[in-house]
Amino acid sequence: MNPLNPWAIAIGVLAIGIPTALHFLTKPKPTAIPISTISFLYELIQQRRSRSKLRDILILLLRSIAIALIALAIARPRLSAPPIISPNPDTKTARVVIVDQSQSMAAGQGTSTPWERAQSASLRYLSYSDDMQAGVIFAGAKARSVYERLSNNFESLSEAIKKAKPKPENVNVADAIERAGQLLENVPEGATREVVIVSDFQRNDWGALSLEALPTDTKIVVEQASLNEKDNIAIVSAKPENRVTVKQPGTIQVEIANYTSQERNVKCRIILEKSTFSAQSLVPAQGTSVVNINASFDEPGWRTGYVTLDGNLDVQPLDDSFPIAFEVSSAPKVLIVTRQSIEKRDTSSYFLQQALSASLDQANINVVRSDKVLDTDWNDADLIVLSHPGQLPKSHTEKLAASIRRGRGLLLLMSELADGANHVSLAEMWGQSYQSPVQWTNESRGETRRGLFVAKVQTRQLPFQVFGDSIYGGLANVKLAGGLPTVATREGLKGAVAAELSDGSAWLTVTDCEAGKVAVMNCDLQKSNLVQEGIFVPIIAEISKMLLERDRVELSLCGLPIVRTMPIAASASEPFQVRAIDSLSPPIQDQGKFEFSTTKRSVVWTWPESIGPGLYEVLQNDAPVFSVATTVPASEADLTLLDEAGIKLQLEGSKQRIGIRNTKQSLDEQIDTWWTWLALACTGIMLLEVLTLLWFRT
Amino acid sequence: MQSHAAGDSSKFLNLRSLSGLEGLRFSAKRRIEGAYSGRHIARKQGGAGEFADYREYSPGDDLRRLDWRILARTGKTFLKLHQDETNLACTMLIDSSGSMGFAGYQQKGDDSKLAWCQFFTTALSHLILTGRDHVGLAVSEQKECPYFPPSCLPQQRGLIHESIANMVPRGSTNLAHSLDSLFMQVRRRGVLMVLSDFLDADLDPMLSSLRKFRTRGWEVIAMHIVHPDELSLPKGRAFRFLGMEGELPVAAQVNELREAYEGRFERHQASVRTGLLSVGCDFHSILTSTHYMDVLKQFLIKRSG
Repeated sequence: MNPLNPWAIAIGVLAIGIPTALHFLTKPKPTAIPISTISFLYELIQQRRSRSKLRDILILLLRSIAIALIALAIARPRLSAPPIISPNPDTKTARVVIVDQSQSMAAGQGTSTPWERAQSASLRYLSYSDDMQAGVIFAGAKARSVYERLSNNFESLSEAIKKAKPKPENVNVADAIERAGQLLENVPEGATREVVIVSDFQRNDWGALSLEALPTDTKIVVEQASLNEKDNIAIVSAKPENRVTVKQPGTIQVEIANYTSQERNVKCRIILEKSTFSAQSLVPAQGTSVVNINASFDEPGWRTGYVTLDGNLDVQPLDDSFPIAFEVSSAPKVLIVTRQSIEKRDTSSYFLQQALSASLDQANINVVRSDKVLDTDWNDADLIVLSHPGQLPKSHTEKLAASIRRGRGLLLLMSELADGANHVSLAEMWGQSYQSPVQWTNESRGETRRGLFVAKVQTRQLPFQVFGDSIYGGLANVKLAGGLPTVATREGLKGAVAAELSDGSAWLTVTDCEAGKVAVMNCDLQKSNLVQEGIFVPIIAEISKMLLERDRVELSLCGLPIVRTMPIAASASEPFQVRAIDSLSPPIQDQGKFEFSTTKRSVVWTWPESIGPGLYEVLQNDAPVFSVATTVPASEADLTLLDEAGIKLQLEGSKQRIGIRNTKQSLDEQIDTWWTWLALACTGIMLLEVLTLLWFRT
Repeated sequence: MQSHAAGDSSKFLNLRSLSGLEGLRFSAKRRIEGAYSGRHIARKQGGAGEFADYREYSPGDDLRRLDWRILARTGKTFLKLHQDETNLACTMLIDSSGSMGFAGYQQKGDDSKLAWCQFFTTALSHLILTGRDHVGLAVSEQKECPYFPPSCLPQQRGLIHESIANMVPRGSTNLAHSLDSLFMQVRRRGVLMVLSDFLDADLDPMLSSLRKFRTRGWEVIAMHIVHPDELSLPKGRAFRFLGMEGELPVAAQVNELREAYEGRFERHQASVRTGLLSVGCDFHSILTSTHYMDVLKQFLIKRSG
């Protein structure tokens, strides 16, 4: 026990006698008077003497205890067990300090941010000691170790901590713990392993903390740099709803999260080069709201800019601005490959051409016979439709597979065995990146496939999501024929079967294939009456929209690797250059690698450690060919932290010896909460005194 | 009253106040046994006095009371009965123990219970003697019991009044002893009036003694004298109480005892009342705050009625 105010104990010792002294000093001086009934008083006093004595003793005792407790509470005793990790160990020690470098550590106003407290808390564990070796790991999107092995260069380690700043990233906790485990693997024999984790313990990042990667004899101290103010409003996402096409109305969706306890009316603005759009929305407390901003663009090409929140002052200003980059595309190009007569009007390809024309405004639909398809046709098309193409030569399937890998859409009409063979060829080329839910077979079991109807539809998934249960009404009179029987595969996702036929075979499957998407419709349109039903065009429209959505903008999170396929037009032989578009974006240090991918038949840009948040463009011959916006992970906007109980719950079952502290405490400072318990006990004693008095009165 | 004024010098006798009560007479509720003829109904029925009844003759009856006229007319023997009237002999036993000197917590000397008894008995004895009845006096002291037999001699008034005036509260209460001593000295049945606060440690011996009087045919009037201050403890926090009959002093904080004391005193009053009534006494509880003349008036009205 180390009291903060020892003088209070001395005063308390003296004051303990006060109730007894007062009891005797304030005893009234009796007045002598004669009384005739003194025998009655003898009786009464005799009865009550022992009771009064007991009451007086109890009351005096309770009062003395109350005074002693008050004195102790004022003295503020600080009791605690010795710290698990001593800052200056006197035995051989291997210590790793993990410092959370995520964006949430920068939250806060003024000078008191979790990061500053984390810095000072970390430095306390890096004071020089002959017997100690230490390492520092900055935990961000990936773990960054100052040195590859433990070192006794404490000055350098401390300097690294002092120079470091929070990064616009989240924390890869498992990576940091694993890295710490690697550093502690080869420590000298007999050395004590210690890990200090300094973080704000944001719930989103640290919700799955596991210490299994650390040796079981490791002593662990968790230092929490908590944040008092947690109110934050942030833009967590901003991207076009669908493919943005020239001169077509487009919608940019901005998702705003309100992590405060009150509903907020938020104004946001999108500045895209010279154009500015604004909107406002009421965001519920602890909820999100999506603001749709309509915009139209006259020219194709990349558009970059920022979405900002107007007049928002909160603890995390960085997430009030959100970079956005997307491509305004030309009208979609559709390639229908068939061997059917182009002039005939009762063919599947004709029906599809008509349906696609009605579905996609200003779409450039090109129907080409399968033996006359050019290499450029495969590259230029945004959506490729195979309708009775016959068996495609390998050169075509290779180009088609590469095109799909790059992000194109494919609608394959599974009408005949040749289509099945094409599908098998394509699946082989795509390999593991394509997991078809079913396998098309040629075993018809002697049954002719006709008079089939749609038995089951995944109404909650694309492309039938918009129809809901009304799809069954639209398909009620549809009788399908042709196609191939199917057998479910082990590796495919069951949910990828969007619709099933009455014989149990798949009618429509939708499967991702790297950046592209493949839809397979299992029927022969010529033999079916689907094309005569009103539902045909809407279904084709939804399928085509779904397949063209591969151009949706993917969010690029700071700190994480970015892999993007460059446009076909980009030449593999010419050098690429990546640069920040504006001064708000941090300058590029490492622009990553540009490599030609034989499978995709295109250049793939790999940026292993993206920086940001900001806007970056890829130039070739000084002409922009690609743009990317790196953003702060949305999880960093929610500043809800794990409390001590939450951290304990996370670490429950860990074999290591663990201590949890707050960075506000100094190492030699002990727990100073006893005074509250003492004050509470004093109140209880006083209450007990009142109860005792009442009890003796009755 | 004027006729006795020359011999009355007691400070406890106020003849002017008593003049209003001269018309009232102290009467016994029962038939009494007197030495002389008087105005009170005697226990025995004799040949003189007022005719009361007839009764058949039985051998041994006084033949002088035989109604000869009825015998002559009817041949049957009947005795004529006449109610004798006799005088009353009242013996007043006054408790003069130390507790009777209690004059309240303010300690006004002339407000004591004994003083009240002195005024009351002086006035009552005066009225009894005026009615030509006999008055005797016994004083209950710790060891002795001075006794003045009932008499209506002219000097009796002065003797009684002087004895009453000279009483001083002292010693402890021993009413049983006094009653026993008195019982041994009295010769003729009459009325015994006991004035006391009955603060004996044990009431049973006293009640036994009184039962002897009742058994012999005495009429016993018990007057329980209570000072108003005795009903509760004084106001204040702490007192050192001094006993009035030689008890050791006791210090107490009265706030804690007040309720219990009041309950205890009520129980004492109840037990005194119950005990005395069970013995067959005519019981009166009197607060000394009530003027003795008022008490006397009410007492005599009841008695004369």
